[in-house]
This record gives sequence, structure tokens and C-alpha cells, in this order.
Amino acid sequence: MEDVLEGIIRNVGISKDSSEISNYISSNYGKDALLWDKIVVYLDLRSRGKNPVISGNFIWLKDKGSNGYRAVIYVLTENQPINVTDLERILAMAKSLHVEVYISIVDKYGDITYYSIDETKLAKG
Amino acid sequence: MPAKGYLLYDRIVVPDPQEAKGIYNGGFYGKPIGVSKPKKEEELERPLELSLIEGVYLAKKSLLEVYSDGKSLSDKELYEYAKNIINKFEILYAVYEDLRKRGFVVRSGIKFGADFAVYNLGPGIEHAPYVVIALDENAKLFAHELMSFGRVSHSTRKKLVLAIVNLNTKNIRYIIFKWVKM
Repeated sequence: MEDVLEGIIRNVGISKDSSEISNYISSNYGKDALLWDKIVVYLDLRSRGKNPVISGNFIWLKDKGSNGYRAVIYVLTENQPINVTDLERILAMAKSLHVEVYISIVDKYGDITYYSIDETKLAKG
Repeated sequence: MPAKGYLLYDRIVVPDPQEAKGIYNGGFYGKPIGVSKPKKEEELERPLELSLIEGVYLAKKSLLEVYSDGKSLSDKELYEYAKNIINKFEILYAVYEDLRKRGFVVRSGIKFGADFAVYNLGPGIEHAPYVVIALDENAKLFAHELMSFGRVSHSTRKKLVLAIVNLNTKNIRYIIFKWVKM
């Protein structure tokens, strides 16, 4: 099955850094229930000219101007709920790392919708 | 002297036109009966209907005395009553009170698919810049809920704010949630 997944990656035209995603698949196949969803988001971001890296529960977007990251993306599927406290934790982590936070929701056909979340003090303007 | 209001299940009616006008003008509370968007001063001189959330807030500020079956209810009694008939009332009230304390005018957001529409100045003066959905910090959110939040913010062209309430600490965090094209 890992070969099949890697074949899919090759056939959608990812050549640059394809070893990175191959390594991710071989390390996480059978362990990560969201493996396919993360690959779908990864490929979508690549197709949009972004430079994503899958790591742990997140996909990180590299900052073009530096070696650091500019954003973190939390991948959710149609059937997977998220605890509100987890949203808060992700925001706190992103704040400490000075990166933007996005949620990507992958539906049953692999269509992806992105949302930004950002804490505000909500002061009267 | 607080205005007199009468509890009618999930509404409170202030029958005296002058008291009703005073309450409405104090911060765009409630709706003059039969006038959906009051524009002239004379349209305010008629009985006013308030939501329970508004009623509890005004009772706590001693601006309203609420009667039920001929008996005056304390703000605490009214709060307990409201808890029993309005879903997630404690969460909604915590957010309402916090936003009012921050100086916002807070109205129902049901027309926009949210809990509250929030104004800097008030309805009729500006379009509400924010719509707010109140959430319990212990809640779980499903994808379809998040996607409906995204629809709310996009279709109403307002900033959608998620107000996350911790009822134990009374802490409220505000998060702007927005559909984006990556």
C-alpha cells in the first residue's frame, strides 16, 4: 500500500522534495488515521505554489524569505470533531512561534476548505 | 427608579411608553412593539419587548424590575429562570455581559446565523461589524459547524468572532474565524 501511495504522489507531478513525502508515508503508514488527508492537503498546497512540510499533527508552511515557518495548518476531516480547548492550544502554540494558524477541512471527496483563526482582544473601534 | 417589566415566558415587556423609551435609549435594548427598526424618537414611545438576556443584564444593573405572577423577581431568580428555558444561557449571558461591559451594543444575531450582532455605535447608525457565536470551552466542534461558521462570515461580510467561555474561571477568549483562499 505504501508503494501505491508513493506512486500516486509521483503521478500527480510532485518531483521536487518527493523524498520528503515518501519518508512521511513510510514512517506514518498505519499509524496516522489522517495520513491520506494530510497528503491531500500537502498536494493541494504544493499545487498552489506553497512549500509545505508535514510534521506530527500539523502541516507547516515555510516562509519563502527565511528558513523558518510562517504558518501552521491543522488538518480536520468531515467526520472528526475538534475540542475547543485544542483550538485554544493551537493558537497559543502559534502565538509563541509567531506563525499564522489555519484549519483545513477535507471532505469525503477530498475537497479542501481553509479557514484562518486568530485571537483578538475585541476592543471597541 | 427602575423600569417595570413583566415576564412573558422568554420575553419581558415594559408597558409604560416613557420607561420603555428610556430603556431603549440607554443602549439599544429590546424592540418597541410593532417597530422593527425604530428611526424616529416618537416610535420609541410604546411598550418595549426585551429578551431574557437583556432583562437579566438590566436587572443586574438595577435598571429594570421584573415581575412574574405579581411578584418581583431578583436578578438571580431571573437568571436561574432563564437558565432553565434557554439553551446554553450561561454561556450566552457571559458573552453578552462581557461585550456590553466593553462598550459594544449587542443585539440578536439570529438573522446572520450567529448568537449576537455586535455594533460599535448601534443599529440604524452602522452595519454590525461583528457577528459572535458563543461557545463553551468544553465543547467539541464538528466540521459542518466550522464550515457553517465560515459561511456566516463570508455571506454576511462581517467578522465572525467565536467567543470561547470558561464558566469556571469566567474567562472569555475571542477568536476571529474566516474562510480564506490559500
